Amino acid sequence: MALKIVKGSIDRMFDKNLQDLVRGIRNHKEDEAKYISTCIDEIKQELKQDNIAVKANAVCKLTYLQMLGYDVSWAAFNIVEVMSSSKFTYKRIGYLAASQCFHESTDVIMLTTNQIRKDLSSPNQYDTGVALTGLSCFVTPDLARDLANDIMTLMSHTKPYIRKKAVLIMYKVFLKYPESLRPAFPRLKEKLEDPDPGVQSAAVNVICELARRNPKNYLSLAPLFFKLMTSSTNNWVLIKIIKLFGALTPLEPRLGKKLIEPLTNLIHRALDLLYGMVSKKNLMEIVKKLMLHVDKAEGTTYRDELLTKIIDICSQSNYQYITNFEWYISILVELTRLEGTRHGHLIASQMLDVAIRVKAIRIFAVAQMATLLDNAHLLTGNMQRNGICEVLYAAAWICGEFSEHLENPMQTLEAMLRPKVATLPGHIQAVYVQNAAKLFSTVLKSQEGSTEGTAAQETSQLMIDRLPLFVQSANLEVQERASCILQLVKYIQKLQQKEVEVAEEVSALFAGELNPVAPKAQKKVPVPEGLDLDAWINEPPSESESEDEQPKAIFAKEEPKHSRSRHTEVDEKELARRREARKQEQANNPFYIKASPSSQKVYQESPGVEHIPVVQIDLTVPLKVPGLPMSDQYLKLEEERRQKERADKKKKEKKKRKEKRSGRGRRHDSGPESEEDITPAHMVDIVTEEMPEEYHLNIEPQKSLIFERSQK
Amino acid sequence: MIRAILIFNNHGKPRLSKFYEHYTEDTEQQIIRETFHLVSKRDENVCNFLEGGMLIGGSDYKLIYRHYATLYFVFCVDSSESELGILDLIQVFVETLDKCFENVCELDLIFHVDKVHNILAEMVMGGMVLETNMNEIIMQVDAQNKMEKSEAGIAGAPARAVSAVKNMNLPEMPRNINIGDISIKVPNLPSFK
Repeated sequence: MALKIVKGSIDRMFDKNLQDLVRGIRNHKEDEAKYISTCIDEIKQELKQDNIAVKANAVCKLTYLQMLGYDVSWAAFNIVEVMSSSKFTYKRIGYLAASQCFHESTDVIMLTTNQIRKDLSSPNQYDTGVALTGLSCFVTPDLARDLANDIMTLMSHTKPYIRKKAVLIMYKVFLKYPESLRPAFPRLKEKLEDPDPGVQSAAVNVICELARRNPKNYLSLAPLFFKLMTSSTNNWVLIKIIKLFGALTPLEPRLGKKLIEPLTNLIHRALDLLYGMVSKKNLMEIVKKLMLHVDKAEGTTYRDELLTKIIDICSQSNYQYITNFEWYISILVELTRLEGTRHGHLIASQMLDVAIRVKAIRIFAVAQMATLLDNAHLLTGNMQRNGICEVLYAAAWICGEFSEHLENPMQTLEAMLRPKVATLPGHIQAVYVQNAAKLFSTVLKSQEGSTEGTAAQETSQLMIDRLPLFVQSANLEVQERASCILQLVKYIQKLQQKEVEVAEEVSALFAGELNPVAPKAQKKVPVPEGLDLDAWINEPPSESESEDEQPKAIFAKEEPKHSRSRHTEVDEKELARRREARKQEQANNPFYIKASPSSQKVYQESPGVEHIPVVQIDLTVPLKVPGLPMSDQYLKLEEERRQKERADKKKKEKKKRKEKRSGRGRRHDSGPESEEDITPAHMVDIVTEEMPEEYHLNIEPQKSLIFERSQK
Repeated sequence: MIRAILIFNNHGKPRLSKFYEHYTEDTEQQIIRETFHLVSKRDENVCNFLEGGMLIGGSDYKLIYRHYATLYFVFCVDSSESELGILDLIQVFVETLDKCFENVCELDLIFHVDKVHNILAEMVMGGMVLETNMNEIIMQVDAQNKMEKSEAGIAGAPARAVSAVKNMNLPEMPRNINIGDISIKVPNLPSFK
């Protein structure tokens, strides 16, 4: 007997374990099948032994063979035997084998019920754990029915390790035995607020899976999940909950609205990541993907966010990542097709920026912009501020400024003067009008060169026909520009009728390039010697203009009489002389449009400002005009003073002055073009007069900034 | 839900196969072959997600894979799982294996597939993600290993000794051991196969 045991033990020592089996198979590459069948015979022998360790070893080997594709279902009973071992090690081997090869038609499965139940109530949590894990793979309707209660109890086990597994397996139990769902559901809901995060995750997992199958039953849980979503930091939980909401939202539109905010935050975080991820290579891909999203996200603020993001990543670091600007322009044009955006100005500014800075792209850009203008009727649907119609602003300017690249300038000119343009917002119309003038100049140039003499005159006639609509605009800027240009064109037409070649001189109106100015450019300009910027340039201003817009009541103090009389003296003495000199100049200057009778009348009324009683103010005391910052106010005053001087000096103007504007006391040149027109003697532009000639060009753009500012 | 987890090498030999849906052994082998074909012909720098093959569920299921040295780790999942999440899970799985096996390589998976199953059981249960925190997983795995060791105890000694002997590479042993003036002739033992 003892010998038998010894012999048995020695035999057992030569049993192959898993590693031996694997090694053996690797060493028998040629006759693998034969070798394996030998091994299977050995395994069958081992399974006949009483020794549970031996059986476990055999089952372990069988599991490996199953992975290689061998059917091991004949050993099912043995597997159950090993599962019922009291030792955790063997039990684990048994359950693993079961999970790999047991299924619903395995007859011995019924035999496992009691064993599983025993294991589920074992004091050793790992016994329970291993049983739950195994069961999750081979649970049948019968097993589910029999064990549901035991598993439900385990959901409230003291150890979170067990609770987690119990919660998770409930889903499989529900699948096989749906009746178990109703009694288990309250406890499952409880688990959503379990203190252990693993258990909570498991509960979320299960409910999300259930809800995907049957969304409407779980709609009532939405508030709870919302709370979880906003409080959880576990990404897995978040993902599951968001997917769940994806299934629930079609049923409950209010939910969708409530979700916008947290989801937008998440999306923002994701989009922010994009910022750092972008490189030259992947920019176009990324933007393409984003454009797809933009298409899908129709009619939402999310779309606007995407738009901003796309432009942000494209334009960052001075367009560092863009390798093909034609592509970028076409992206921008595509973006113009978005309805209801509030970032039209952003697209517009991008178009302008790229067209100005990237010379090589101008031809392409101009072609695109011309198309946009032609199809402007598609964009004019949205008139809101910063709506997509803003791109027309950019389109018009680009076509005007770089009109030499236009394929068909005449067509574009006509597009810009269509009556429908008058429905656009004022600032856009103003740009249209101004750039129509630039285009007109280009068209004239090409037409005068050709043999067709009448074409040029027809163009002028076109302008004369179409501009009056804009002259009547309610927007002051449009009005002003239109009327200036109308007068100019009329004059040109007259010259054309006299067979004078005007194209050269008209294009001189728009000569020179407008380049972007760096913000610190002004600081870089060295102050020339002999210039003291703090000294009074002219006589200290009198206060005669101030009453133009401020009611007398505000100013209480009175200036000493002598300064006033000095100013008045200057007026009376100089006025006639200056007027004469000016008249002479204007008669010789072909570009001076003689004022029409109506404007003459208006004009004559306005210079009578001397009649208006003037209140002296002590300008050493800062003026506090509500709504304007201090420095602006000084600037305003200075400008008004200059205006007054100009009004006194100039009788005849190219620009009309309207009654209603005199109240504001402001008069503007319609832009840099007018500056170039006016010969220096007439420019009471004190800044340029004082600065050395060579800085003239620098100052001009700078000057217009000041004008821009005070326009607002 | 995860339908299957497969690990195979660059030649398509399975190193671990876990199916959470029942298939016959033949079908399982076919699925492994099909998945290998789908995954192995992909370039290194293309997306890690692709549609499942016909056998595994077609376009309703996705294959999410990662290629580490000589091994492909493939998870076949349905639309309830996040692709990036599963990709992360694969990474956690591999890192856990690395911790448990110390610089894990294919050989470890070849000879200790049962241990790999035990580790996987702490991460995915019944096709659903159980735990994603590596420390938690390792803690449980270690605890169970301890149990195993304590159960083996003294009784396991002979078996371990035999294993040790079997693992010796006998042909490499010196024929003669010379220590000082003592010479020992080592007998020519047949190698244990």
